Amino acid sequence: MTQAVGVQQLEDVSARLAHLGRECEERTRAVVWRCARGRRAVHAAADFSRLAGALAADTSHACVLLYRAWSERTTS
Amino acid sequence: MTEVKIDVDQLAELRRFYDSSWKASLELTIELSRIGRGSAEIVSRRMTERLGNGRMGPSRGDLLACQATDQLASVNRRITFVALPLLLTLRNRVDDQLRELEAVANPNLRRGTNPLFAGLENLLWAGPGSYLTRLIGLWAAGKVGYQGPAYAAATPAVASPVPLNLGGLLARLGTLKDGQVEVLRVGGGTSDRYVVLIRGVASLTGPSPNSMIDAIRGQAFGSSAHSSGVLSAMRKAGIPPGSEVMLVGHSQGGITAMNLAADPRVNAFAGGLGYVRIVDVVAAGSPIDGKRIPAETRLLAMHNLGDVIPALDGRDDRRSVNRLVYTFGRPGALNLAAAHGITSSYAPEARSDRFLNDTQVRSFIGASDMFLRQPVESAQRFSLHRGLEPDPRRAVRLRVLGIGVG
Repeated sequence: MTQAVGVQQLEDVSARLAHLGRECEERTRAVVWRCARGRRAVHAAADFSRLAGALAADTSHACVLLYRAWSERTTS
Repeated sequence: MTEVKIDVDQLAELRRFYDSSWKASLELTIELSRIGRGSAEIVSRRMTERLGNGRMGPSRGDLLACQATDQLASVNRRITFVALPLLLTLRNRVDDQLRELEAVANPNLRRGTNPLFAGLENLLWAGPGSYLTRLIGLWAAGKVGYQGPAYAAATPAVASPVPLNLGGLLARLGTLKDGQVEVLRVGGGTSDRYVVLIRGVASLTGPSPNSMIDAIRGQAFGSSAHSSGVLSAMRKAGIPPGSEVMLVGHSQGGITAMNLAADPRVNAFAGGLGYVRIVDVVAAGSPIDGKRIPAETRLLAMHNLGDVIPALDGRDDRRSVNRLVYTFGRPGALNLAAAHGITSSYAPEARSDRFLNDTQVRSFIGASDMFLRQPVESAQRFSLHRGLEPDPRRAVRLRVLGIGVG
Protein backbone atom coordinates (compact mmCIF):
# COMPACT_ATOMS: atom_id res chain seq x y z
CA MET A 1 0.00 0.00 0.00
CA THR A 2 2.72 2.47 0.95
CA GLN A 3 4.50 1.68 -2.31
CA ALA A 4 1.36 2.58 -4.24
CA VAL A 5 1.04 6.09 -2.81
CA GLY A 6 4.72 6.99 -2.91
CA VAL A 7 5.47 7.15 0.80
CA GLN A 8 8.77 5.35 0.32
CA GLN A 9 9.70 7.60 -2.60
CA LEU A 10 8.89 10.68 -0.53
CA GLU A 11 11.20 9.51 2.22
CA ASP A 12 13.94 9.14 -0.41
CA VAL A 13 13.23 12.62 -1.79
CA SER A 14 13.42 14.10 1.71
CA ALA A 15 16.73 12.37 2.42
CA ARG A 16 18.16 13.45 -0.94
CA LEU A 17 17.16 17.07 -0.37
CA ALA A 18 18.75 17.19 3.08
CA HIS A 19 21.92 15.54 1.77
CA LEU A 20 22.11 17.89 -1.21
CA GLY A 21 21.90 20.95 1.05
CA ARG A 22 24.58 19.70 3.46
CA GLU A 23 26.94 18.66 0.69
CA CYS A 24 26.50 21.98 -1.11
CA GLU A 25 27.47 23.97 1.96
CA GLU A 26 30.40 21.72 2.84
CA ARG A 27 31.84 21.78 -0.67
CA THR A 28 31.45 25.55 -1.00
CA ARG A 29 33.18 26.14 2.33
CA ALA A 30 36.02 23.80 1.34
CA VAL A 31 36.99 25.96 -1.66
CA VAL A 32 39.48 28.79 -1.22
CA TRP A 33 37.80 31.89 -2.63
CA ARG A 34 39.17 35.29 -3.43
CA CYS A 35 37.86 38.27 -1.50
CA ALA A 36 34.17 39.09 -0.96
CA ARG A 37 32.89 36.82 -3.68
CA GLY A 38 33.76 33.81 -1.54
CA ARG A 39 31.85 35.15 1.44
CA ARG A 40 28.81 35.73 -0.72
CA ALA A 41 29.09 32.24 -2.19
CA VAL A 42 29.38 30.67 1.27
CA HIS A 43 26.36 32.67 2.45
CA ALA A 44 24.37 31.58 -0.59
CA ALA A 45 25.38 27.97 0.00
CA ALA A 46 24.34 28.23 3.66
CA ASP A 47 20.99 29.67 2.50
CA PHE A 48 20.61 26.79 0.11
CA SER A 49 21.47 24.30 2.84
CA ARG A 50 18.89 25.81 5.22
CA LEU A 51 16.29 25.88 2.48
CA ALA A 52 16.99 22.29 1.50
CA GLY A 53 16.72 21.27 5.17
CA ALA A 54 13.33 23.01 5.50
CA LEU A 55 12.12 21.47 2.26
CA ALA A 56 13.28 18.04 3.43
CA ALA A 57 11.35 18.52 6.69
CA ASP A 58 8.21 19.59 4.81
CA THR A 59 8.51 16.63 2.46
CA SER A 60 8.92 14.35 5.43
CA HIS A 61 5.83 15.87 7.04
CA ALA A 62 3.86 15.36 3.82
CA CYS A 63 5.06 11.78 3.87
CA VAL A 64 3.71 11.32 7.42
CA LEU A 65 0.38 12.86 6.40
CA LEU A 66 0.10 10.54 3.43
CA TYR A 67 0.96 7.54 5.55
CA ARG A 68 -1.69 8.50 8.09
CA ALA A 69 -4.21 9.07 5.29
CA TRP A 70 -3.73 5.58 3.90
CA SER A 71 -3.70 4.06 7.40
CA GLU A 72 -7.05 5.76 8.10
CA ARG A 73 -8.47 4.37 4.91
CA THR A 74 -7.32 0.85 5.48
CA THR A 75 -8.66 0.81 9.04
CA SER A 76 -11.99 2.51 8.17
CA MET B 1 53.09 37.57 3.19
CA THR B 2 51.11 34.38 2.84
CA GLU B 3 50.29 33.44 -0.69
CA VAL B 4 46.80 32.09 -1.05
CA LYS B 5 46.75 29.35 -3.62
CA ILE B 6 43.52 28.88 -5.41
CA ASP B 7 42.89 25.53 -6.96
CA VAL B 8 41.23 25.93 -10.35
CA ASP B 9 40.44 22.22 -10.56
CA GLN B 10 38.64 22.46 -7.24
CA LEU B 11 36.55 25.34 -8.57
CA ALA B 12 35.78 23.45 -11.75
CA GLU B 13 34.77 20.43 -9.67
CA LEU B 14 32.51 22.67 -7.55
CA ARG B 15 30.91 24.05 -10.71
CA ARG B 16 30.20 20.51 -11.90
CA PHE B 17 28.71 19.73 -8.49
CA TYR B 18 26.37 22.76 -8.72
CA ASP B 19 25.34 21.68 -12.20
CA SER B 20 24.62 18.12 -11.10
CA SER B 21 22.75 19.41 -8.01
CA TRP B 22 20.64 21.61 -10.28
CA LYS B 23 19.74 18.61 -12.42
CA ALA B 24 19.10 16.46 -9.34
CA SER B 25 16.81 19.14 -7.86
CA LEU B 26 14.94 19.36 -11.13
CA GLU B 27 14.46 15.59 -11.08
CA LEU B 28 13.17 15.85 -7.52
CA THR B 29 10.50 18.32 -8.64
CA ILE B 30 9.42 15.84 -11.33
CA GLU B 31 9.27 13.05 -8.74
CA LEU B 32 7.29 15.24 -6.31
CA SER B 33 4.86 16.26 -9.05
CA ARG B 34 4.33 12.62 -9.98
CA ILE B 35 3.63 11.59 -6.39
CA GLY B 36 1.38 14.61 -5.75
CA ARG B 37 -0.57 13.94 -8.94
CA GLY B 38 -0.94 10.25 -8.07
CA SER B 39 -2.21 11.09 -4.60
CA ALA B 40 -4.68 13.68 -5.92
CA GLU B 41 -6.02 11.18 -8.47
CA ILE B 42 -6.61 8.59 -5.76
CA VAL B 43 -8.40 11.14 -3.57
CA SER B 44 -10.56 12.24 -6.49
CA ARG B 45 -11.47 8.63 -7.31
CA ARG B 46 -12.35 7.88 -3.69
CA MET B 47 -14.50 10.99 -3.36
CA THR B 48 -16.43 10.00 -6.49
CA GLU B 49 -16.95 6.50 -5.05
CA ARG B 50 -18.16 7.98 -1.77
CA LEU B 51 -20.63 10.21 -3.53
CA GLY B 52 -21.80 7.18 -5.53
CA ASN B 53 -22.38 5.31 -2.28
CA GLY B 54 -24.49 8.19 -1.00
CA ARG B 55 -21.93 9.54 1.46
CA MET B 56 -21.40 13.24 1.51
CA GLY B 57 -18.06 14.96 2.10
CA PRO B 58 -14.55 13.58 2.26
CA SER B 59 -13.31 11.11 4.83
CA ARG B 60 -10.60 12.04 7.35
CA GLY B 61 -8.09 10.05 5.32
CA ASP B 62 -8.97 11.99 2.18
CA LEU B 63 -8.52 15.30 4.01
CA LEU B 64 -5.10 14.21 5.22
CA ALA B 65 -4.14 13.17 1.70
CA CYS B 66 -5.28 16.56 0.34
CA GLN B 67 -3.20 18.32 2.99
CA ALA B 68 -0.17 16.23 1.99
CA THR B 69 -0.72 17.02 -1.70
CA ASP B 70 -0.85 20.75 -0.91
CA GLN B 71 2.35 20.51 1.06
CA LEU B 72 4.10 18.69 -1.77
CA ALA B 73 2.99 21.40 -4.21
CA SER B 74 4.42 24.03 -1.88
CA VAL B 75 7.74 22.17 -1.64
CA ASN B 76 7.82 21.91 -5.41
CA ARG B 77 7.21 25.63 -5.85
CA ARG B 78 10.01 26.51 -3.43
CA ILE B 79 12.45 24.17 -5.16
CA THR B 80 11.58 25.67 -8.54
CA PHE B 81 11.51 29.34 -7.62
CA VAL B 82 14.04 29.54 -4.78
CA ALA B 83 16.38 26.56 -4.65
CA LEU B 84 17.11 26.25 -8.38
CA PRO B 85 17.90 29.99 -8.83
CA LEU B 86 20.17 29.79 -5.75
CA LEU B 87 22.15 27.00 -7.37
CA LEU B 88 22.47 29.05 -10.56
CA THR B 89 23.73 32.00 -8.51
CA LEU B 90 26.34 29.78 -6.92
CA ARG B 91 27.44 28.52 -10.31
CA ASN B 92 27.74 32.12 -11.55
CA ARG B 93 29.96 32.95 -8.55
CA VAL B 94 32.30 30.12 -9.54
CA ASP B 95 32.28 31.36 -13.13
CA ASP B 96 33.18 34.88 -11.99
CA GLN B 97 36.02 33.49 -9.91
CA LEU B 98 37.33 31.36 -12.77
CA ARG B 99 37.14 34.32 -15.14
CA GLU B 100 39.10 36.47 -12.74
CA LEU B 101 41.75 33.79 -12.29
CA GLU B 102 42.02 33.43 -16.02
CA ALA B 103 42.53 37.17 -16.39
CA VAL B 104 45.28 37.10 -13.74
CA ALA B 105 46.99 34.09 -15.29
CA ASN B 106 46.84 35.46 -18.80
CA PRO B 107 47.85 39.12 -18.97
CA ASN B 108 47.19 39.15 -22.72
CA LEU B 109 43.50 39.22 -21.97
CA ARG B 110 42.07 42.71 -21.91
CA ARG B 111 42.08 43.02 -18.16
CA GLY B 112 40.86 46.60 -18.26
CA THR B 113 37.95 45.60 -20.43
CA ASN B 114 36.84 42.40 -18.76
CA PRO B 115 35.54 43.83 -15.46
CA LEU B 116 33.70 46.55 -17.38
CA PHE B 117 31.89 44.13 -19.62
CA ALA B 118 31.45 41.66 -16.79
CA GLY B 119 29.74 44.49 -14.87
CA LEU B 120 27.62 45.40 -17.88
CA GLU B 121 26.71 41.78 -18.41
CA ASN B 122 25.79 41.36 -14.74
CA LEU B 123 23.70 44.50 -14.84
CA LEU B 124 21.75 43.37 -17.84
CA TRP B 125 21.75 39.66 -17.05
CA ALA B 126 20.36 39.84 -13.55
CA GLY B 127 16.61 39.82 -12.95
CA PRO B 128 16.12 43.60 -13.05
CA GLY B 129 18.44 43.75 -16.08
CA SER B 130 15.78 42.84 -18.53
CA TYR B 131 13.66 45.60 -17.01
CA LEU B 132 16.50 48.03 -17.57
CA THR B 133 16.66 47.11 -21.25
CA ARG B 134 12.92 47.50 -21.46
CA LEU B 135 13.09 50.87 -19.77
CA ILE B 136 15.68 52.09 -22.27
CA GLY B 137 13.38 50.85 -25.03
CA LEU B 138 10.45 52.76 -23.53
CA TRP B 139 12.56 55.86 -23.24
CA ALA B 140 13.67 55.52 -26.82
CA ALA B 141 10.10 55.09 -27.98
CA GLY B 142 8.78 58.10 -26.12
CA LYS B 143 11.62 60.56 -26.40
CA VAL B 144 13.37 59.80 -29.63
CA GLY B 145 10.38 58.46 -31.50
CA TYR B 146 12.37 56.40 -33.95
CA GLN B 147 9.61 53.89 -34.46
CA GLY B 148 8.13 54.86 -37.75
CA PRO B 149 8.11 54.08 -41.41
CA ALA B 150 11.18 53.22 -43.41
CA TYR B 151 11.66 52.39 -47.03
CA ALA B 152 14.20 50.64 -49.21
CA ALA B 153 15.94 52.09 -52.24
CA ALA B 154 17.80 49.91 -54.74
CA THR B 155 21.59 50.25 -54.81
CA PRO B 156 24.00 49.07 -57.50
CA ALA B 157 24.35 45.31 -57.63
CA VAL B 158 27.50 43.63 -56.36
CA ALA B 159 28.82 41.24 -58.95
CA SER B 160 30.86 38.90 -56.75
CA PRO B 161 29.64 35.29 -56.61
CA VAL B 162 27.61 34.18 -53.60
CA PRO B 163 28.54 30.80 -52.16
CA LEU B 164 25.31 29.34 -50.83
CA ASN B 165 26.41 27.81 -47.57
CA LEU B 166 26.02 29.28 -44.11
CA GLY B 167 29.66 30.38 -43.87
CA GLY B 168 29.44 32.05 -47.26
CA LEU B 169 26.16 33.78 -46.46
CA LEU B 170 27.51 35.16 -43.19
CA ALA B 171 30.67 36.36 -44.94
CA ARG B 172 28.48 38.04 -47.58
CA LEU B 173 26.46 39.62 -44.77
CA GLY B 174 29.70 41.13 -43.51
CA THR B 175 30.12 43.03 -46.80
CA LEU B 176 26.81 44.93 -46.44
CA LYS B 177 27.20 48.61 -45.65
CA ASP B 178 25.26 50.74 -43.14
CA GLY B 179 21.52 50.23 -43.60
CA GLN B 180 21.84 47.72 -46.42
CA VAL B 181 19.81 44.57 -47.04
CA GLU B 182 20.43 42.01 -49.77
CA VAL B 183 17.83 39.74 -51.34
CA LEU B 184 19.04 36.63 -53.17
CA ARG B 185 16.79 34.62 -55.43
CA VAL B 186 17.87 30.98 -55.29
CA GLY B 187 17.07 27.77 -57.13
CA GLY B 188 16.41 27.36 -60.77
CA GLY B 189 13.52 28.01 -63.12
CA THR B 190 10.33 29.24 -61.56
CA SER B 191 11.63 28.91 -58.02
CA ASP B 192 10.01 31.19 -55.51
CA ARG B 193 12.70 30.93 -52.84
CA TYR B 194 14.63 33.83 -51.46
CA VAL B 195 17.38 34.45 -48.95
CA VAL B 196 17.38 37.85 -47.24
CA LEU B 197 20.59 39.06 -45.60
CA ILE B 198 20.13 41.64 -42.82
CA ARG B 199 23.14 43.35 -41.26
CA GLY B 200 23.60 44.43 -37.66
CA VAL B 201 23.74 47.82 -35.93
CA ALA B 202 25.82 50.41 -37.76
CA SER B 203 25.49 53.44 -35.49
CA LEU B 204 23.91 54.71 -32.31
CA THR B 205 21.37 56.87 -34.12
CA GLY B 206 21.24 57.99 -37.70
CA PRO B 207 19.36 58.39 -40.94
CA SER B 208 19.11 54.65 -41.54
CA PRO B 209 17.06 52.41 -39.25
CA ASN B 210 20.17 50.29 -38.75
CA SER B 211 20.78 52.04 -35.43
CA MET B 212 21.15 51.04 -31.81
CA ILE B 213 17.88 52.79 -30.92
CA ASP B 214 16.02 50.65 -33.46
CA ALA B 215 17.79 47.54 -32.19
CA ILE B 216 16.59 48.25 -28.64
CA ARG B 217 13.09 48.95 -29.90
CA GLY B 218 13.07 45.76 -31.95
CA GLN B 219 14.35 43.75 -29.02
CA ALA B 220 11.90 45.16 -26.50
CA PHE B 221 8.77 45.67 -28.57
CA GLY B 222 8.81 43.18 -31.42
CA SER B 223 9.00 45.70 -34.24
CA SER B 224 10.99 48.73 -35.31
CA ALA B 225 11.57 50.94 -38.29
CA HIS B 226 14.19 48.39 -39.32
CA SER B 227 11.45 45.74 -39.71
CA SER B 228 9.49 48.12 -41.98
CA GLY B 229 12.63 48.77 -44.02
CA VAL B 230 13.47 45.09 -44.51
CA LEU B 231 9.89 44.34 -45.47
CA SER B 232 10.00 47.19 -47.97
CA ALA B 233 13.21 45.72 -49.45
CA MET B 234 11.54 42.31 -49.78
CA ARG B 235 8.61 43.86 -51.65
CA LYS B 236 10.90 45.94 -53.88
CA ALA B 237 12.90 42.83 -54.74
CA GLY B 238 9.69 41.42 -56.18
CA ILE B 239 9.32 38.50 -53.78
CA PRO B 240 5.89 37.14 -54.75
CA PRO B 241 3.39 36.51 -51.94
CA GLY B 242 3.57 32.96 -50.58
CA SER B 243 7.26 32.47 -51.44
CA GLU B 244 9.53 30.51 -49.16
CA VAL B 245 12.10 32.74 -47.49
CA MET B 246 15.20 32.29 -45.37
CA LEU B 247 16.23 35.27 -43.24
CA VAL B 248 19.87 35.56 -42.21
CA GLY B 249 20.70 38.27 -39.72
CA HIS B 250 23.57 39.39 -37.56
CA SER B 251 22.97 41.18 -34.23
CA GLN B 252 20.12 43.64 -34.91
CA GLY B 253 19.49 41.77 -38.16
CA GLY B 254 18.73 38.62 -36.15
CA ILE B 255 16.29 40.54 -33.93
CA THR B 256 14.53 41.95 -36.99
CA ALA B 257 14.44 38.51 -38.64
CA MET B 258 12.79 37.03 -35.54
CA ASN B 259 10.30 39.91 -35.36
CA LEU B 260 9.33 39.40 -39.01
CA ALA B 261 9.04 35.64 -38.47
CA ALA B 262 6.72 36.19 -35.51
CA ASP B 263 4.53 38.74 -37.32
CA PRO B 264 1.38 37.12 -38.75
CA ARG B 265 1.15 39.90 -41.36
CA VAL B 266 4.57 38.90 -42.72
CA ASN B 267 4.94 35.18 -42.01
CA ALA B 268 2.05 32.98 -43.13
CA PHE B 269 3.22 30.33 -40.65
CA ALA B 270 2.42 32.71 -37.79
CA GLY B 271 -1.30 32.14 -38.12
CA GLY B 272 -2.38 35.04 -40.32
CA LEU B 273 -2.57 35.82 -44.01
CA GLY B 274 1.17 36.50 -44.06
CA TYR B 275 3.01 37.86 -47.06
CA VAL B 276 5.58 35.05 -47.34
CA ARG B 277 6.44 31.77 -45.66
CA ILE B 278 9.54 32.25 -43.53
CA VAL B 279 10.93 28.74 -43.40
CA ASP B 280 14.33 29.39 -41.85
CA VAL B 281 15.93 32.05 -39.70
CA VAL B 282 19.66 32.21 -39.01
CA ALA B 283 20.54 34.68 -36.24
CA ALA B 284 24.19 35.26 -35.39
CA GLY B 285 25.01 37.08 -32.15
CA SER B 286 21.46 38.32 -31.51
CA PRO B 287 19.62 38.64 -28.17
CA ILE B 288 16.55 36.70 -29.28
CA ASP B 289 15.90 34.20 -26.49
CA GLY B 290 12.70 36.00 -25.53
CA LYS B 291 11.37 35.94 -29.09
CA ARG B 292 8.75 33.46 -30.21
CA ILE B 293 8.49 31.98 -33.67
CA PRO B 294 5.88 29.68 -35.23
CA ALA B 295 6.51 25.93 -35.01
CA GLU B 296 6.90 25.69 -38.80
CA THR B 297 9.76 28.19 -38.86
CA ARG B 298 13.20 26.79 -37.99
CA LEU B 299 15.79 28.86 -36.16
CA LEU B 300 19.52 28.39 -35.98
CA ALA B 301 20.97 30.81 -33.44
CA MET B 302 24.76 31.21 -33.20
CA HIS B 303 26.08 32.45 -29.89
CA ASN B 304 29.72 33.21 -29.15
CA LEU B 305 30.09 32.79 -25.38
CA GLY B 306 32.65 35.61 -25.37
CA ASP B 307 30.08 37.96 -26.88
CA VAL B 308 27.85 39.79 -24.40
CA ILE B 309 25.33 41.03 -26.99
CA PRO B 310 23.28 37.79 -27.29
CA ALA B 311 22.94 37.82 -23.48
CA LEU B 312 21.57 41.36 -23.30
CA ASP B 313 17.99 40.14 -23.17
CA GLY B 314 18.78 38.64 -19.76
CA ARG B 315 17.61 35.17 -20.71
CA ASP B 316 19.26 31.82 -21.15
CA ASP B 317 19.47 30.20 -24.57
CA ARG B 318 16.07 28.78 -25.39
CA ARG B 319 16.14 25.51 -27.27
CA SER B 320 13.34 23.42 -28.74
CA VAL B 321 12.68 21.20 -31.74
CA ASN B 322 12.65 24.15 -34.15
CA ARG B 323 15.09 26.37 -32.17
CA LEU B 324 18.66 25.17 -32.50
CA VAL B 325 21.34 27.04 -30.60
CA TYR B 326 24.98 26.62 -31.54
CA THR B 327 27.43 27.98 -28.97
CA PHE B 328 31.17 28.41 -29.32
CA GLY B 329 34.04 30.42 -27.84
CA ARG B 330 34.79 31.05 -24.18
CA PRO B 331 33.17 33.49 -21.76
CA GLY B 332 35.25 36.64 -21.38
CA ALA B 333 38.03 35.29 -23.57
CA LEU B 334 37.79 37.85 -26.37
CA ASN B 335 37.21 41.55 -26.54
CA LEU B 336 33.70 42.66 -27.33
CA ALA B 337 34.30 43.92 -30.84
CA ALA B 338 36.13 40.78 -31.94
CA ALA B 339 33.68 38.44 -30.28
CA HIS B 340 30.64 40.15 -31.76
CA GLY B 341 31.96 40.91 -35.25
CA ILE B 342 30.46 39.03 -38.17
CA THR B 343 33.76 38.81 -40.05
CA SER B 344 35.94 38.20 -36.98
CA SER B 345 33.76 35.75 -35.10
CA TYR B 346 30.58 34.33 -36.63
CA ALA B 347 31.49 33.91 -40.32
CA PRO B 348 34.82 32.13 -39.60
CA GLU B 349 33.08 29.87 -37.07
CA ALA B 350 30.40 28.96 -39.62
CA ARG B 351 33.19 27.68 -41.86
CA SER B 352 34.90 25.65 -39.14
CA ASP B 353 34.83 21.85 -39.01
CA ARG B 354 33.33 21.97 -35.52
CA PHE B 355 30.33 23.90 -36.84
CA LEU B 356 29.90 21.81 -39.95
CA ASN B 357 30.15 18.55 -38.00
CA ASP B 358 27.79 19.64 -35.25
CA THR B 359 24.77 17.33 -35.21
CA GLN B 360 22.13 20.04 -34.92
CA VAL B 361 23.80 22.25 -37.50
CA ARG B 362 23.92 19.32 -39.90
CA SER B 363 20.24 18.62 -39.34
CA PHE B 364 19.45 22.31 -39.97
CA ILE B 365 21.54 22.39 -43.16
CA GLY B 366 19.98 19.11 -44.30
CA ALA B 367 16.48 20.54 -43.83
CA SER B 368 17.41 23.81 -45.56
CA ASP B 369 18.46 22.20 -48.82
CA MET B 370 15.90 24.26 -50.68
CA PHE B 371 17.97 27.40 -49.93
CA LEU B 372 21.50 26.17 -49.47
CA ARG B 373 23.56 24.49 -52.18
CA GLN B 374 21.34 26.05 -54.86
CA PRO B 375 22.38 28.32 -57.73
CA VAL B 376 21.82 32.03 -57.14
CA GLU B 377 19.55 33.46 -59.81
CA SER B 378 19.86 37.09 -58.83
CA ALA B 379 21.15 39.32 -56.04
CA GLN B 380 19.71 42.74 -55.25
CA ARG B 381 20.93 45.22 -52.66
CA PHE B 382 18.85 47.89 -51.03
CA SER B 383 19.68 50.69 -48.66
CA LEU B 384 17.15 51.48 -45.97
CA HIS B 385 16.04 55.00 -45.11
CA ARG B 386 13.91 56.34 -42.33
CA GLY B 387 10.59 57.98 -43.21
CA LEU B 388 8.15 57.79 -46.09
CA GLU B 389 9.41 57.06 -49.54
CA PRO B 390 9.47 60.22 -51.71
CA ASP B 391 6.57 59.94 -54.09
CA PRO B 392 7.29 61.55 -57.52
CA ARG B 393 3.55 62.07 -58.14
CA ARG B 394 3.30 64.01 -54.89
CA ALA B 395 6.26 66.18 -55.94
CA VAL B 396 4.55 66.94 -59.29
CA ARG B 397 1.30 67.85 -57.50
CA LEU B 398 3.18 70.21 -55.17
CA ARG B 399 4.97 71.85 -58.12
CA VAL B 400 1.65 72.38 -59.86
CA LEU B 401 0.38 74.06 -56.71
CA GLY B 402 3.46 76.26 -56.68
CA ILE B 403 4.92 74.78 -53.50
CA GLY B 404 8.66 74.27 -53.59
CA VAL B 405 9.92 70.77 -53.08
CA GLY B 406 13.50 70.00 -52.21
